[in-house]
Amino acid sequence: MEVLIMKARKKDSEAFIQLMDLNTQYMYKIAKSYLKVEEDVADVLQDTILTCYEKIGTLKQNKYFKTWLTRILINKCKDILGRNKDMYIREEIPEIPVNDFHYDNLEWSQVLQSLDEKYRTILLLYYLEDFNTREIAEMLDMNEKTVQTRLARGRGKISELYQMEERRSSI
Amino acid sequence: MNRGEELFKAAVQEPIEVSAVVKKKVLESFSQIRNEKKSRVNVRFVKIASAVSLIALILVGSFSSAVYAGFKAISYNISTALGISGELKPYTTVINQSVLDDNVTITLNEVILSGNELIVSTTETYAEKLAENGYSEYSAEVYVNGRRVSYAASGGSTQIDDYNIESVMTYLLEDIGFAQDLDMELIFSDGNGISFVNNSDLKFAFNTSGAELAVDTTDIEIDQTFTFEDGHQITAYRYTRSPLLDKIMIKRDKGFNYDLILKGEDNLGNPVSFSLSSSNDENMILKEDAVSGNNVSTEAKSLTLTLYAVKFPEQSGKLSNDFQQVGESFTIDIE
Repeated sequence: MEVLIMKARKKDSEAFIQLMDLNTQYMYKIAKSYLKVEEDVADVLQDTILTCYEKIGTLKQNKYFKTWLTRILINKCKDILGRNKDMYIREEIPEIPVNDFHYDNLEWSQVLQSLDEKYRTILLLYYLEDFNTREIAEMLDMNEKTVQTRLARGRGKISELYQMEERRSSI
Repeated sequence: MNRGEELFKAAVQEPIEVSAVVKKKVLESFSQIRNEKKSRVNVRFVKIASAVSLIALILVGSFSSAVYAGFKAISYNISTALGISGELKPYTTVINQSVLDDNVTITLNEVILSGNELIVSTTETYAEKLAENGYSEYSAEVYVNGRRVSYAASGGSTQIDDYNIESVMTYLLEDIGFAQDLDMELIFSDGNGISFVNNSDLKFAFNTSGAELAVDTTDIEIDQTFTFEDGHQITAYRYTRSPLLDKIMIKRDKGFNYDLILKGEDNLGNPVSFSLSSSNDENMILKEDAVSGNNVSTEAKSLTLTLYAVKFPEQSGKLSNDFQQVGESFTIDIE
């Protein structure tokens, strides 16, 4: 990945495309944590890729690639949410009822939807990419203390759901 | 990490199949990037001799960000960068404003509006000596009358000496009707691509009449359809004469994924060629290859052209140069 980032920064379009290819799943998962409609996710990914291509020359250091990409992606997601706010209310994404929750057999999207949206992206960034709270705060344009609090609560929620499932399956 | 967290981590890290609609859009953006690469290749930047001119500076944005008069910049213009021999002066709006971002002074030299394309030339002057083969770290969003209208950009930059980088970028704008008075703003970013609007320190603002700014162009309707072996059809439907670069517009269908070149000669026997400059789901734009010397003479009355095409790779991979002829030659009267 390091070599691809380096080449992409020098505007090697094929290296850039490979880099985006490698990160498509990652971008998809992050965008899905924000957006419900698949077409919106598709638009956001396309827009993110093109913006990143236009700006890649300005990336100062290879090691910041992932946080840089994530910030652009999240801002594109927020743009769509802002644009659609009258017709599309994110909080209305139905949470999976606890009774239907089978923790060790879940798909990633179900896991995400089981969580309140204010924990969702933070947990995803933390567990998917091992970002620390400072990096997450930067990417989400949020106070680090808020991120720490939400992360702690989100982790608590994960454990709570797991224990609930454990108890249910032992009956 | 407790068991619940372990399972959560495993679930979110599980490899997944992205949906078809997302995959399609991602591949489309890859094609767009490859197309843009073509247009970058076509823009040859010529090293400017050491002619140095003093540029008048205008204070823009916050006072602290503006650069005081007196600094020197290399004189640069769009026609040199694009390799156009014709006279562009009547169509060029010289701006000559500068703003300062840390150790970099960005000077907006001049702009030209051609159809829905705004061509912008800038010079970046760095306080510290640049490494070899430096490239521009800045790009802009274009606002007209307070509304963001740019949606894509292509172009390139070249380092002209130890401290200066020059760029010519073409910004594709939404069609907003350019005959009106235009309050134009170019808001530059150093590339995190996020806070364009808030970063007023890097803002150039100027007022102009769209009619004055716009290049005089003439549209000639054509109707030439090409059928490909895989069943795709495209139709060349408009030829636009312009003092800048002549263009040929082509209608395409959505699944069409070819790179195109139109090549031939004018009625005087001069070679001419047009290469793919940009495309979207419906249209492709081929522009005159002025930099390779295959520009259209102002004396030319007709062009006889042949289409050559090569498929873009479906996913990652090298671009092929194996262009094959498609259909027969055709003639456009451009008088």
